[in-house]
Amino acid sequence: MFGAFRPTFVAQSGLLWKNPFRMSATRKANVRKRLKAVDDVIATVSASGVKCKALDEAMQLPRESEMIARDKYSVFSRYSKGHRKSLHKVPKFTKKTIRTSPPGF
Amino acid sequence: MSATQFFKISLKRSTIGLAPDYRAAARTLGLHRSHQTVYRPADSTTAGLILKLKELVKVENVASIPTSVEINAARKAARGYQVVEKQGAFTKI
Repeated sequence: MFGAFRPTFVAQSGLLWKNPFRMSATRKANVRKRLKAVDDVIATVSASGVKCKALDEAMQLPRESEMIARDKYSVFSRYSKGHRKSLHKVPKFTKKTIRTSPPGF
Repeated sequence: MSATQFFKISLKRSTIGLAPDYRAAARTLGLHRSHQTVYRPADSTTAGLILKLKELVKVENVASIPTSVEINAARKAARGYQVVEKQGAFTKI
């Protein structure tokens, strides 16, 4: 059970990264904080009076306050059970725009 | 609100590990390192680059680009005291 040859995951296979299934309340709060920061950037560019295609597209995105929890913290996944997986399973999710789901999902 | 002439853009998140087009967009804005601040004219080109990097930057609308003297003055802490009179002000050495 104990000692140098205990049958832990690390001892059996080496490197082990644990990746929780759900995000904690703090991680979800940080997600909301980042979404609001992006909303601020879009609002600032919009307030400057500049018009461009990128701004039109950005204005189409739902704001943090308009998003439902399902869209904030989970994303569509083709292979996951229920076609949803937690947002933090997406590589570089903190630096991507993931706000909407495909229609019907 | 005063007329926006410039965007004050700060790179708050690193571009390390992102696709080359994102890194190129940051480079085009003149953002080479984290927490660097640049001023760019408020036009559609700049707006497009900002919106490409909207997860990484912080933006403000400003009317003019501050000079280095103004930036340093704004950064400087208050002295916490006031000089009322200097001793030996009239003494010539």
